[in-house]
Amino acid sequence: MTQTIAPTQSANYVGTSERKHNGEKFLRGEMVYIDDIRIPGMHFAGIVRSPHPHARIKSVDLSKASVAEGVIFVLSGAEAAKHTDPIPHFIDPEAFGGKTTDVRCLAVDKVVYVGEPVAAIVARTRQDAEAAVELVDVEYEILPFVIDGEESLQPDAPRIYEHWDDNKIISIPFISGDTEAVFAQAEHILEDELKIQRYSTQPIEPRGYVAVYDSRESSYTFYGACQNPHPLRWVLSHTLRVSENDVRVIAPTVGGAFGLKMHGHPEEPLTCILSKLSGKPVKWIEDRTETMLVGAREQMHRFKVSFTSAGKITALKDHFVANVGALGAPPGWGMVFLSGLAFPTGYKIAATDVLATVVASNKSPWNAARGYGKEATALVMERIIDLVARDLGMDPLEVRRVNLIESHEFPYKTAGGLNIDSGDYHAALDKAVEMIGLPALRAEQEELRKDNRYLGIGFAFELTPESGDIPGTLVGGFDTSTVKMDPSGKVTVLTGVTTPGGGNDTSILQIVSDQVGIEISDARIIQGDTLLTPYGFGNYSGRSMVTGGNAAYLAAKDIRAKLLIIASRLLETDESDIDLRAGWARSLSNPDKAIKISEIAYTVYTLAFATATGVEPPLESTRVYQPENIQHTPDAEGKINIYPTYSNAVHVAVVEVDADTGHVKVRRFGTVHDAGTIINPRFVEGQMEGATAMGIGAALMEHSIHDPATGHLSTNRFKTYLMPRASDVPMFESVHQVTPSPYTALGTKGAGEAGVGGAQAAVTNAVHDALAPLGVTIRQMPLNPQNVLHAIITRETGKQA
Amino acid sequence: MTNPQQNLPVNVVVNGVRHQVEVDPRLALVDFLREDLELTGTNVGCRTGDCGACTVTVDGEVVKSCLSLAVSADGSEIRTIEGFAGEGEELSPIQSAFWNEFGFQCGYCLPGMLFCTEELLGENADPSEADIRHAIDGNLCRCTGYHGIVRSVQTAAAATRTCNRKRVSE
Amino acid sequence: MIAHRFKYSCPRSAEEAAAELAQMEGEETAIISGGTWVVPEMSHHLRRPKLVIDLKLAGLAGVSAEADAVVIGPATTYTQLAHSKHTPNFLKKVVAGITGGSQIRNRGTIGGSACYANPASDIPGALVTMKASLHLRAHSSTRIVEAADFFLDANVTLLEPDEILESISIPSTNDENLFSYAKFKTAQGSWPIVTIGCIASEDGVARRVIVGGAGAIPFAVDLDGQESEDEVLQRVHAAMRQPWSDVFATADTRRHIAGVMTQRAVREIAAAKNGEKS
Repeated sequence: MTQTIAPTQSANYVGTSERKHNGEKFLRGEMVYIDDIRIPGMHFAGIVRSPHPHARIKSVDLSKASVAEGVIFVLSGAEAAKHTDPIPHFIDPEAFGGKTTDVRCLAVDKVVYVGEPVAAIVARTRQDAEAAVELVDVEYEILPFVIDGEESLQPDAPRIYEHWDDNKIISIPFISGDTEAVFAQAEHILEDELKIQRYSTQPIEPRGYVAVYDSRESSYTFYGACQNPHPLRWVLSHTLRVSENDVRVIAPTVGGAFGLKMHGHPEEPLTCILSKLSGKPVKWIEDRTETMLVGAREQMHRFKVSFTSAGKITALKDHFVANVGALGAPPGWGMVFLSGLAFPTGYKIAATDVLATVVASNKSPWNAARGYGKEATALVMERIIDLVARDLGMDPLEVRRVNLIESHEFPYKTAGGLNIDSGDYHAALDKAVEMIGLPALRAEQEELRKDNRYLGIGFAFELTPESGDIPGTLVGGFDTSTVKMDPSGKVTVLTGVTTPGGGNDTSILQIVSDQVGIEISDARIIQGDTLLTPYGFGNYSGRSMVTGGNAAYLAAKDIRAKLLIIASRLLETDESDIDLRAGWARSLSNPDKAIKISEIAYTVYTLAFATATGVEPPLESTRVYQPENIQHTPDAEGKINIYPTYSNAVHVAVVEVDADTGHVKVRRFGTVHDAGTIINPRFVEGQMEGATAMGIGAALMEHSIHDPATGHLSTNRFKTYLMPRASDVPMFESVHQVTPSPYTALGTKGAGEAGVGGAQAAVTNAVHDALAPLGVTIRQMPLNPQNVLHAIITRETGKQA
Repeated sequence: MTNPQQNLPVNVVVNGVRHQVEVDPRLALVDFLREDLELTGTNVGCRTGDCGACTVTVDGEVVKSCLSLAVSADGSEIRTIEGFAGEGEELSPIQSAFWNEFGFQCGYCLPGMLFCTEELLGENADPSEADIRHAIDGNLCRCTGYHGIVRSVQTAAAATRTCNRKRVSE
Repeated sequence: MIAHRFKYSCPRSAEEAAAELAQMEGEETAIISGGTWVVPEMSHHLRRPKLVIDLKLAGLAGVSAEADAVVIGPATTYTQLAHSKHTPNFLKKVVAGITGGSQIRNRGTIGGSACYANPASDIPGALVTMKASLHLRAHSSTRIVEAADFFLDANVTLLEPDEILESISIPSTNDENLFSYAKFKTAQGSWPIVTIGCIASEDGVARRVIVGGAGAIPFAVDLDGQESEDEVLQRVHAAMRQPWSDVFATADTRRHIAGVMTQRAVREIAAAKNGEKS
C-alpha cells in the first residue's frame, strides 16, 4: 500500500483556493467554444430526423433539397452506410452477456426513436441547411411503438430490434448471501417501490462538431465539444474506416458536459463523413431541442428489506428496471450496471439480491449523466433507510448509524465486490447534524405544524465510487501527464484528462507549480488534443485529479529532483536545505543564498557537460498514474472491483412543503463531503454545489416527458424541461472532512459526481419528513406539485397512491 | 403579395465601434453579433430566451439577443461581453468579483450573469440575497448551483459601494 | 435559426400596420412587439410568416392617464409598465413577477402577451381582472372588445388576421382599492400553473376573483363576500370551464390549486381590510 505523501514540503498553491488560472479570458468573452470555431470554406450540416418513434424507411427523396439554395451535398442513410461502419459501442452490452445492435450515423432501414438521424444536408449557411432539411421527403411505414419500460418487457410488446427475441438488453444480478432465507426468519419486512423519472444533464452549451477532411493526407481533424478525445478518436477511426493515427481530435473550451459530451453520438462520425464527401470543412451545432432528446436515469425500483427491531437491515432485494430508450453507442446503458453494483452503498447488509434489468424502448437513447447510475442507488438506499425508520418509529439518523460501515472497518469489501478505501461515515453524520442545528429545527418543525405548516429535515448518505476502469473498454482508470520546463523556466503541462469547466486544469497547475517552485502564472496547460497530449481518457467518473493530477505530480517531481541537484551545486548546499518556491531556489538555512528557477533551467540546457553533468536533459517527464485498488481478476466469489477510490458525503436538506398545493421550497442545504486530500477547496466545493443544484432539480422538477400518443418528447425546451434557477436553491453550507485515500499518491478521491444522488435523496427524505403527520409516501419522482399533491390527495381519500 | 427581402441596411454601434452593414433580415441579433461581427463572446444556449447566455445590452437595456432580429437593432447602441470591462484594460469590479468568488465554471452563462449583475447594482447598491437571485433568474447556470454567483454579486456590490463612497469623498 | 425568407417592415403607426396586413390576403403574418415569442418560434420553424411587422417605430409604447382610464400602448414593455407613474398598482405587481428575468421584462410587452394568449401567462388573467378593454384596428375599421370576451381559447383570441391591437384601456376607478395577485409555479423558471387576481370592491370585499392558468382562458369567480371557505372552493370549481393541462399539471391538479389559491386570495384581502381598520 502506498503511503500518503504530503503534496510537497513547500506547498504554496496546493490546498489553497487558487482562482481559475485563465479566468480573465472567460470574463472577457475570449474563450473559444466549439461554435466559435471558424475554418476557411466552412459549410454547415443540417440533419433530417425521424418524426416517428418506430417506422420502416420506405424511401428517402433528396431531390428537392439537393437543388435548394446554398446546398452543396445531400446524404441518405443508405449512401452513408457505403462509407461508414456502425459506431462501436462505448460499452457493448454483448460483452457483458446482453444483446446488441448496430448503431449507424444515419438510419438505413428503420427508425427506432423520434429524432433519429435519417439524412443530412451540407449547405453554405446554417439557414440554408435548416431550410433544406424541410425539403427532404422521407416515406415511412409506421410501426407500433412502446415508450414505457415495463410495457416494453411484455411478450407482446412491439419488437424494437427484429433480430432480438424480446426488448430486454440485459439483466445483471448482484447477489450476496441468501436473502430469501433471511426474509423467512426476519423480525420485520418492508416492501415498497419508487419510480425515478427520466431526466437529463443539459449543460448550457449544446453539443457541436467541426470536421475537416484533408484529402491529400487522407486524414481528419475533428473539433468537438467532447469529454474524451482519445477514445473518441478510436471510435471515429473505426466508424470512418481510417487508421486511428489519421484522426486528430481537438476539444476546445467546453461549456459544461456532465456526461452528455461523452461520445457515441451519430453526429460525430456524420460530420466527418459529410466533410469528406462534400469536400468542405463542415460544422454542426446542436439545437436545444436536439440536446433534450438525450436521456438518462429512468428506473423503476421495487424493493424488499428485512430488519431487526434495533434497525439493523439484514437483507435487501431490489429487482429494478431501467428504460434506456433505443440502444445507442454512447455509454448510457452502463449507468444501470453501476446502479446495481453500487448497492448497498456504505451500509453493511450481508444478504443482497439486486437484479438490474435494462430494457430498450422507442424513446431516444441515453448517454452518461453525472452520477453515472450511482445517484439512483443513493436515492433508493436512503429512502429505504427512512422507510425502515418510519416503520420502527426510530430516528432515521440512528438507523444510519446502526448500518453504516464503521471507520475502523476500512478497507471494506461490499456485497457487490467494491473495496471501499477509507472514510468516517459516522463522524460525517455527526458533523451534518451539528452544521444544520438539528434540535432547533425540530423545535421549529413542531411549532410550525401547529399552524399546518410542514417543515421537513432530510438526511442522506452518499457513496461515490470514482475513477473507475471497466475492463475491455476505453473507460480507463489511469491517465498520463507530461511536464516540461523550457530554458526560460516556464512550464508546459500536457495531460490526457480534460476539463468541462470545473477547474482540474488550474488544480493540476497548482500541483506542478508547487513541485517545481514557480509562480502559477509561469505555467500553462494543454488538454484535449490527441496530437499534442499523451494518451488519456478525458473526464468522467471524478477521475481527473485522481489520475491526471497524480500523474502530473509524479512528472513534476521528476523535474523537481533535477532542479534540486543543480540548485544544490549552484548554491553549494544540500538538496534537503533547498526550498523551491515562487520562481526561486533558496537555501533554508541561509535565505540570502538563492537562485532563480529560470537560471537553473537555463543551466540544464546550456551547461549539460559542466554544471549540469549527470542530470539528464531536457527538463521533461511523462508519467502515468495508475491508482491502486482496482481489481479486475475475479475473487473467490467471482467479483471484481472497478473503482480505486470512494468519495462520500452526508447531505441534509431543510424544506417547507405547502400541503395544500404540493409545492416544495428548499430552505437550507448542507453537505459534509469527504473527497480525500483536497488540492483546491473552492473547486471541490464548486463541484458539489453544482451537483447539489442538479440533485435538487432531480428531486423537484426535472423530468423528460414523452407524449404516450405520439412518442414525441413534450419537454423539448427550457420552458417545459425545468431546471433550478437561482431563486429555486439556497446558499449551500459545506464542511470538508478529509480521510485521504490510501490508494492514490496524493490521497485524492475524486470530486464531481457526488451531490446529484445525495441532494435528490436528502430533499426527498425531507419532503417525507415534512409530510409525516399526513403519512404520505410518494412513489413517483420528481416531487413536483403534481406528484406531491397526488400523493397527499390519494392518501387522504384512502385511494391507492 | 409582398416580396421577401434580401439584405437591409443596419447602422449600429457595438462596444463603441460603429458598423454600417447590410444584414439578412433572418438573422437574430445574436447571429449578427457572432457571425457578421465575429464577437463570439455572446453564446447561444437555447434560442428560446430561457438560458440567458446570449445576453447583451441594447441602448442600455439588458436583453436576450436570440429574441430580436438584427434588423430591429438598427440605430441602436449595443454592448457585448467583449465590451463589458469598458475602455480601460482592467477588468471591472464585477468581473473581478466573479473571478475571485468562483462565480463561473464553464463560463458559458457569463454574458447573462455579468450584465444582469450590472443592471441590478445600477438600481440597488445594497441588494439582499433574494434581490440578487431574482436579478439573475433569467439565466441558467448548470455548473455552480448559483452559490458562487450569488457570492460574486455580493462581493461586487460591496466593491461598488466602496468605489462610490471614494468617489463621493473625493 | 430562421430559415425561411420574409418581408420585414417597420410601419410608423397602427394604421400603417393595419394597411399592410390588409394586403396580405390570408398569408401568414407576424407582429413583433417585443419579439420574445415570434422570434424564437421563427427560429425553430414553428412559424413561417411571409410578412413580419416590427412595431418599434409605430409609436405604440407608453402609458398615459385619461379622464377615467389608463391607456396603455400594446408595445409597452413590462419594465416600462413597472416604471410608469400611471400604471395601475395591480398591474405593477403583476409585471414585477413576470418569469424570464429582467431581459424578458425589458423586451416582453403587454400587448404581445395579450395577443399570444398563452393560458399560462400572467397578462390575460390580469387584463380580465382589471376589466380592460382592447382597441383593435383593421385597415378600414376599429372595434373595442372587453378583455373577458377577447380570449377564446388557448392561444386563440378575437383578433382577426388583418387586425392589430392598438391600445389597452383600463378603467381607473378601482385603483385605490385593496387587491391581491398571486401565482403558483412549479419552479422559478416555469410558467404559472395558476394565477389569481382580485381587486376588491370599494367596501374592501373580494367579490370577483379572476383565475388564470388553470383553464385555457381566464375565468371569473363571483363571490358575495359571505361564503365559507368550502363554498369559495365550490364556486371556483363550478366556474372552471375549458380545462387545461400541460406537462406541469393536469387539469384536476390545476382545479385543486385554483381553489386553494382563491381561498388564500380572499383571506389576504380580508386580512388587509382588517389590518386597515386596526
